[in-house]
Amino acid sequence: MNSVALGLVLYILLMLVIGFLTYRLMGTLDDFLLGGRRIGPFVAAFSERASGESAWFLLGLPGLAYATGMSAYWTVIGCAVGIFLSWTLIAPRLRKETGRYGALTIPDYLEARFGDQGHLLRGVSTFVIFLFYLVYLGAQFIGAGKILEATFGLPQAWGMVIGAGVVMFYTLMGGFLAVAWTDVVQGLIMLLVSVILPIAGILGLGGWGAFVEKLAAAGPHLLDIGGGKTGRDLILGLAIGGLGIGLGYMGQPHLLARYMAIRDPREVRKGVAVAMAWVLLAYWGAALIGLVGIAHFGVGTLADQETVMPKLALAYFPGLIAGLVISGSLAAMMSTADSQLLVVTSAVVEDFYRKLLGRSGSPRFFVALSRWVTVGVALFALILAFSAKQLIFWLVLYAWAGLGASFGPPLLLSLRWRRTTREGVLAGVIVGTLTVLIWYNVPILKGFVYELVPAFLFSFLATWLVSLWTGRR
Amino acid sequence: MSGWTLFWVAGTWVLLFLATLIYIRVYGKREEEP
Repeated sequence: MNSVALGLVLYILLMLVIGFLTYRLMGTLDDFLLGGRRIGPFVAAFSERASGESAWFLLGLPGLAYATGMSAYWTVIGCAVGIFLSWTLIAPRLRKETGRYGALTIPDYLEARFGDQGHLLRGVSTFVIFLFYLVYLGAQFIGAGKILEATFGLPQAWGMVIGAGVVMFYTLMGGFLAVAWTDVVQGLIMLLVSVILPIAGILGLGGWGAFVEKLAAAGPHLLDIGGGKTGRDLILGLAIGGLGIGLGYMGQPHLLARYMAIRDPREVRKGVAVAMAWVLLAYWGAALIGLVGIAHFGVGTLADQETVMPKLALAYFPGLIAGLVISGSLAAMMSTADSQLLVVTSAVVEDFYRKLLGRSGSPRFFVALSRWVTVGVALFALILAFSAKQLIFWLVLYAWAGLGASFGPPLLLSLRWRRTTREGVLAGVIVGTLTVLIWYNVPILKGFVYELVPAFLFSFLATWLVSLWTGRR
Repeated sequence: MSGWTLFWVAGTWVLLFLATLIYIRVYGKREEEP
């Protein structure tokens, strides 16, 4: 085994050990789905950050910066602002409210908040969560296959099975605790890679001055945040589109669960500090990796722009360290997949089986059931990933914007505006989802601006106006 | 690198840093009140 592969094996072993260590700590469904709400702010913040960024963060974002230069920072700024708004506008109130209602999931919260006896809100939101997260999970497993093929030459099918197997194992063993603790390790690896790799690269190129000179020589538009564009193309296509991606954070149930799991509502502030420190270091660094790639390899010399991070790691670090750095992209994938797997498990066990079907059982029974459901969901997502790749690629295009627009505005208003009604929330969820589906499929609209921006706005307006209307009756 | 680019890339970093500090010291404390 070469030393690069050894770094990867060490990383995978650590994940499995965390699964073993947390196995005995799962006594109730609350433990399995939310860590018994005993998670400290540091772990919650790292878990939210690692879960919030998939392999896109260390492969796609540096790849975008490698291909387009400084204009990738529109996306960086948009995501950073979105994360800040989500942590400050949603997290404190959601932690307080879900604690008060004893809610384990977002559908739980919505039903309790609006006293929805007919389970309509729970039914619709559970269906949206189940559909989007199953394909999300399938897409992460396909990502694992690609990462292990590109970096270690493993056949893609093997990479998919290994990625899914490791995630499934530690999630079924230790539930939320295993997911949160592996997220801490994964979030730390992601942070270190996005800070240390660009510094090593800039030093290797001869310092900041030499780096900027090489970048300018590669093309002046690469040093311009406008990317050489002007007018409508710059404002709607690049700036609003890039900034708009950040609107999605407020409506992702796998991230919202992290806020709900914080030990004490008074510790959310510490979580904000940790999460924003991560964002300000890691996000600005991840895009810088792509810019270092331009200076190191030249423009367009890499056949696949998304391999810029692993290629730079191999260029600047010795074998074992390069292996650990490359594991960062696998860590980014796994930390997202495990939280998504747990959200689907919670939708099946808590929302569907316990609440919609009204079944009861002992705490031990629900933990055992959750473990079996975790295995079933992971296997089903893996089978989907093998047999329905096209369907997954098609649906996953809608997932970020679809979840962000359907849950973000109704949740924001339900937490911040007392007059929000059940009908308003339903209208927001439906309008948000439909706008994303329609906008994406009409070329003239799609070319105008990224679908999440209008979908978020329309969902907000629908929740607000329908609440005003139905509240008055 | 133009001043415009620097304003967006470095300026928003500083603004977010300050916004986080202000939130932690002022608004976050208010959120904690029952």
